[in-house]
Amino acid sequence: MKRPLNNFLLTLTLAFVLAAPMAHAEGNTHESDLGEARLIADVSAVTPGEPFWLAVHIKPKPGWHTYWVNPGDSGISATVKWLETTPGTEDAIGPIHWPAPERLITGDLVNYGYKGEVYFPIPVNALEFDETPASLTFSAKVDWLLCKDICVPETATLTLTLPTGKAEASKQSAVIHGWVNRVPTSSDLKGEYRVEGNDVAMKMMLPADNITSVEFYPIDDGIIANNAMVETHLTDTGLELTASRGNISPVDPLHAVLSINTRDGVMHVATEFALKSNIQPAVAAPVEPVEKDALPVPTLGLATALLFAFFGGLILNVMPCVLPILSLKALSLTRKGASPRADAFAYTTGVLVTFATIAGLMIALQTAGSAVGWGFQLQSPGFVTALIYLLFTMGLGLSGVYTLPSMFSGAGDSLTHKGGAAGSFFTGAFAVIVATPCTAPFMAPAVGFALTQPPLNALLIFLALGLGMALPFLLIGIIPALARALPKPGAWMETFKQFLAFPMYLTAVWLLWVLVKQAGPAGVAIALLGCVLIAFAIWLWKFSSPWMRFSKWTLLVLLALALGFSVSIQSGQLSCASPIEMLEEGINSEYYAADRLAELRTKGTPVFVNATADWCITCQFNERIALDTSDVKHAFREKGVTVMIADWTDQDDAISEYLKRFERRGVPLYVLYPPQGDPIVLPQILTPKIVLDALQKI
Amino acid sequence: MEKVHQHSHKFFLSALIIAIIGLFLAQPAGAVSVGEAAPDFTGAAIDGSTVKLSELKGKMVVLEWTNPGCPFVVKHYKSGNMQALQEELTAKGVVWISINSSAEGKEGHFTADKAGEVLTEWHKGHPTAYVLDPSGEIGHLYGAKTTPHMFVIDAEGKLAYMGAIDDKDTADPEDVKTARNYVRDAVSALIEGRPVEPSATRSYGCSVKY
Repeated sequence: MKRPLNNFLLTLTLAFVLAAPMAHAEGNTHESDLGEARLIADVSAVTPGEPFWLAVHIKPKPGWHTYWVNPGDSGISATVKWLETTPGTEDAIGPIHWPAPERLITGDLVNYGYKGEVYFPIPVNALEFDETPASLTFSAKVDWLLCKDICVPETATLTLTLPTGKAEASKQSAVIHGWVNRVPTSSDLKGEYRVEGNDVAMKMMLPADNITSVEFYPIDDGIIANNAMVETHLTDTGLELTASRGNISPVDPLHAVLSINTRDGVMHVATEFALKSNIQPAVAAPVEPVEKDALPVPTLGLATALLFAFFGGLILNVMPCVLPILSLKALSLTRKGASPRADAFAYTTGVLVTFATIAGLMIALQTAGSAVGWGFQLQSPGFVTALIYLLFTMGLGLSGVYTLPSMFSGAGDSLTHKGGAAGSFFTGAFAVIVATPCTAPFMAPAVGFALTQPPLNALLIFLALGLGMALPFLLIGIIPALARALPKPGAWMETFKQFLAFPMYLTAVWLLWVLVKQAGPAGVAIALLGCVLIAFAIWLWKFSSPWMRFSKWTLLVLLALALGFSVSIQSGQLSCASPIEMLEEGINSEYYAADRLAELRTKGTPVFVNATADWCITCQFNERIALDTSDVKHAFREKGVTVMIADWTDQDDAISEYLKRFERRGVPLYVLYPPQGDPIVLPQILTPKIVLDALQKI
Repeated sequence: MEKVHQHSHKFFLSALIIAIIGLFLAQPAGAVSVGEAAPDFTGAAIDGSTVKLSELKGKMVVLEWTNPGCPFVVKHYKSGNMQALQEELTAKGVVWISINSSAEGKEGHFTADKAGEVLTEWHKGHPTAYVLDPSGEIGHLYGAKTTPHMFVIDAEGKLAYMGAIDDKDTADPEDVKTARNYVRDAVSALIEGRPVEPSATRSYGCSVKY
């Protein structure tokens, strides 16, 4: 009889013993194959009247990430919906305070989020009760999206019960406060921004003057394209950011977060940019001096368009691109044995045929669906580069570096009738190609109109253009009086020819300026390199007699290389600083900062420091041969290495200090920090094998 | 000497012209805007036919970027929401083109012969055509970022709406019942001659698996 009572008492005691820790329970942990989540607090007990922090802790499996308040191009941010809380507490609970994110890049898409574990702090204001309950319960439905290469939405009901009493820091207090520090602070810093066509320019005054870099994260999404580089410039007047437009209309103000890296650490600041001006593009404008007129004008009648085109063509003759060719060709008519009429007709035919070809091409492209406008060729960096080469080559000829082919030379050639005509044809064709950079004001509306017309009308307009351009030469050929009025050949022609080289060079310079905007400084460097190759090829050409065949082939190979360069410019990316390029590969990459290195080391993150400079050839060599290879990049990714780029291109005391640590006075310096232990210094000339072997060891 | 010159210059000119033609045939990257002509494209549908946008002038067209593996697409398909919308709009004369831009090896990719095995049961939608775009060309042309990502094109071929399918950016199928469907609203506005409001929203979903 006593037994059952003993059992009962035992059970009851056990129940109480077990129940007691429940009052101090931390809350449930949600587990799935992709990770864990739980609701925690920075106090182990809540004292009424004192605010505290709750936090949603999400710990995904390695390789998975979740999102910021603005997830970016895709993804969803986490949501917390309070289901049940102790009565009287609901109003005191604030929203998620989002810690500053990282950039997550997958191909063309850029997201903002957190690469691994994240703690979302939630503030709870001071609670007041008439009658303080023994414990407080917080229960929320939390939804978050975990993505790696696929996405899996997770949901859980997370509950936390805390006793009331004297508040003491909980075990998670330190880590929660660490994440609270990562939440951007509101500041009085406000900036302004302008939208001009495809560019967004943001400005802000920044007090700190030891800033090394700034990261920009928009909270209002879509106004700025997430996947375009945001260039940051630190000037005396503060910070300037240049970005590209997204496809959502600009808002006023634009809310954003700036993560400001200084030599003393990093600051996260929540700020806003007031909209100062908003100039939307009228149409996707080609890179052209006469942009705004490039809209098609449907009200232009065909006859008017033909007239405009004709006059436009006429004006082309005085443009610096065309004038040299025309002048020389006109003067060639004054030679003995020249047949002005045939030449003039051949030239006109050349011009008309080339214009017709271009017209045909534009019409074909249009029907294939591309949006083309006059000058569309100039939107292509490859074409611009090819034009630069052409102008440079012709300029060299005019300057006398080599003998211009018969179609250009004016003095002293005895040409056959036939040779003259064919030469004139090609002169006409060349003139048209070279004329494209110098499109005249009259042409734009006419051509724009042409493209809205049925193909036959469009062709007629282009032919009118050609006729206008060919007219002066045609007249000289047909009207003997005009030909006679031309100055007689003489020594002055050589000087004149050399003078005409300069408009060619000027046009090439203008095109180089265009190329800067299209392909960046790297593109221009490549184009100039191509020009050097061409000049070299021309020099080789001079040694033609015994090795004619050889030098011809070399010439062709060099030309092919030059053209190949121009194609690579066409398909190349904008030149960006190396950390951005590496970010695109999914490798965590930053600029060197001493304290950040220390921080990463304490976290046990492997770090690879690459001390380099733009002017250091060995560095560039190592980067191309060893560091930029897919195997090495893959290894960096695999091992979770953070690459720190110490860019010593301009003087930098912090980097000089770092180099001194390893008893070096210059770059390159490659140091690999394993998660634990001493750093490994790699040799100054790298091979992929050296880097991979070192990475294997960590 | 002259003849040789002429030859090499003819060659050079032809080479230059060919190179120039080649160079600017490269398609520029997509940055479409509401109110502008929707870029033309040609796509291969799973039934073997070819779909060309310019041939659809005179009809309203809806482009729906999709990926059967994406939870946000599943949200609209499993609930029947997408199919109902497709049926409703195609009955009104809209041409609905579902486009799958998943690259080979990535989530959601399949070849036309396997379509029957992948698009089973509620995965099967009711579009006018389901186009496979594994090279991502059409996706990049339109700047499609997520699945789903919706584009509504009016009968004149101009883009009238682009962005999210509705205003509840969650993966919860329950939300389709209470969400405001931007695509349905856009098409109704076009039919009734009203302005489309909103004309551009931030799309939500998984990233397109280029």
